Amino acid sequence: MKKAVILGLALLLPTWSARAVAETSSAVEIHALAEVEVKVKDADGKEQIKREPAKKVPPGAAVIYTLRAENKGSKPADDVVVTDPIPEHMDYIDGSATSAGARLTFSVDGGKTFAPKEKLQIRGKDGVIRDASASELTHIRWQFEKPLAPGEARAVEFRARVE
Amino acid sequence: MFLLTAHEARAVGTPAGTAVANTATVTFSVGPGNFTQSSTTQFVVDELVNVVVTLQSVSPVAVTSPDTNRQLAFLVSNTGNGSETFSLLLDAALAGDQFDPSNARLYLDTNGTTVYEPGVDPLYQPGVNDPVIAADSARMVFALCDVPASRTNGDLGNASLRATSKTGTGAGTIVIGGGTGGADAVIGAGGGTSVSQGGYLVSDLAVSVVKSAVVTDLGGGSAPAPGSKITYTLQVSVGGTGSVANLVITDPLPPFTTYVASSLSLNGTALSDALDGDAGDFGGTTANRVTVTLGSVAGGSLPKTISFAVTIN
Repeated sequence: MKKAVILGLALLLPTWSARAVAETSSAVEIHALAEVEVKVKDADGKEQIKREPAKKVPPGAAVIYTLRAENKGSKPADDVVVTDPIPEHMDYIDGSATSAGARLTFSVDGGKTFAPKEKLQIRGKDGVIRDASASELTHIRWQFEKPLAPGEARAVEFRARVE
Repeated sequence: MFLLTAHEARAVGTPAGTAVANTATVTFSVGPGNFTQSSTTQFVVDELVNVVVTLQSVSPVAVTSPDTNRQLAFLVSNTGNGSETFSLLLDAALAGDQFDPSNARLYLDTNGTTVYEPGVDPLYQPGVNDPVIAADSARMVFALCDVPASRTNGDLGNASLRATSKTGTGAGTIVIGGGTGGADAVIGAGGGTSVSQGGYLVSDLAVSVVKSAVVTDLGGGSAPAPGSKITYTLQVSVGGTGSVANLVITDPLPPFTTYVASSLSLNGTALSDALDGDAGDFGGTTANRVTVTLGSVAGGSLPKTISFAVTIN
């Protein structure tokens, strides 16, 4: 019985992945990168701040997320929207999201609705309505203002702190 | 405008070894087609090693000379995000005091109480039963010391407790693979160690209360009969060196008597019967009792006089 199921999946998989590749191979790809800033000494012994891929990070440290969208296709891509949840165990650092060339909005309801940060409000446990704080944001969204031309790449960035 | 309920407050300090993944998504359209692509990046949360030792006893502890088995309680708190083993060091040979407490021993609390329990809380033996404390948890540790003979009033003997992480020390040190759950351990700002100090003060402080009564009967005499009024006076004196803290005097009414309303006074100044801003009350703190809070009183200061009256039923 178990064997039959595995065989069935094996037969299905190649067809499905071939379709996925066909649809997206001529279009936008996204690459997410998590980095931390480290202090290194250069040849003159001066301290410089350098970015390194985040592998192991202690609580309280800031992580820089860079999301790079690149059009690998031959046609312009329209309505390009990059969405990123603020990961669990992390707090968005207020004002850290880049917004050049994009409409920047946030969500406080798990990505159901988005609005500019200053328009987001929350009803606290005491019933009082107040502005949402940076740590209450759940998602960030960038809506690119212009189409992404073939071969063009654009990156957006934000920072979050490990709780 | 979006109105939403605030989600549950998250605990501070992500547990060491937690994998934090982030998946970014891009949606776009080419011609009539809509497409979605995503990319995931992940890291692991390191262990941050932090410890705080705080003295729990009111210090200095008033002792006599000689004295035995006097307690100082310390709380060792693991303020990091992973389980840690700590070595403890009790130092009773500190400089800057008048004597060294002797026979200094440490006992580990086993049941969450704030007082050492002989036969229940085990003796601490370095390297044998070093306490293991979970993240965001704490362990009570009791220092027991003796006071040598022939010390004079006002002599102070200090003792300190230091807890040090067995993973490593030195703020910013990274111990590869030394953290909980296979993560690295990063020694926190406190350097993986913390110390707190308490002291023993040789003191002959003694509190004495002298109570006197004056009876006035209905005929103007002093016969204790029904309807007679008894005015009680309590004279509170503190002798010795130093001061006593939180001194509270309570006095229950004798049986078959009734409190005379608004009769309570302290040093000749009336106190209201209600439990309010002034120092005393009748029945407010405890039913059918006079309660007067004197607070901190220095040894050798002028006696305090509390007065109130009752009638015999």
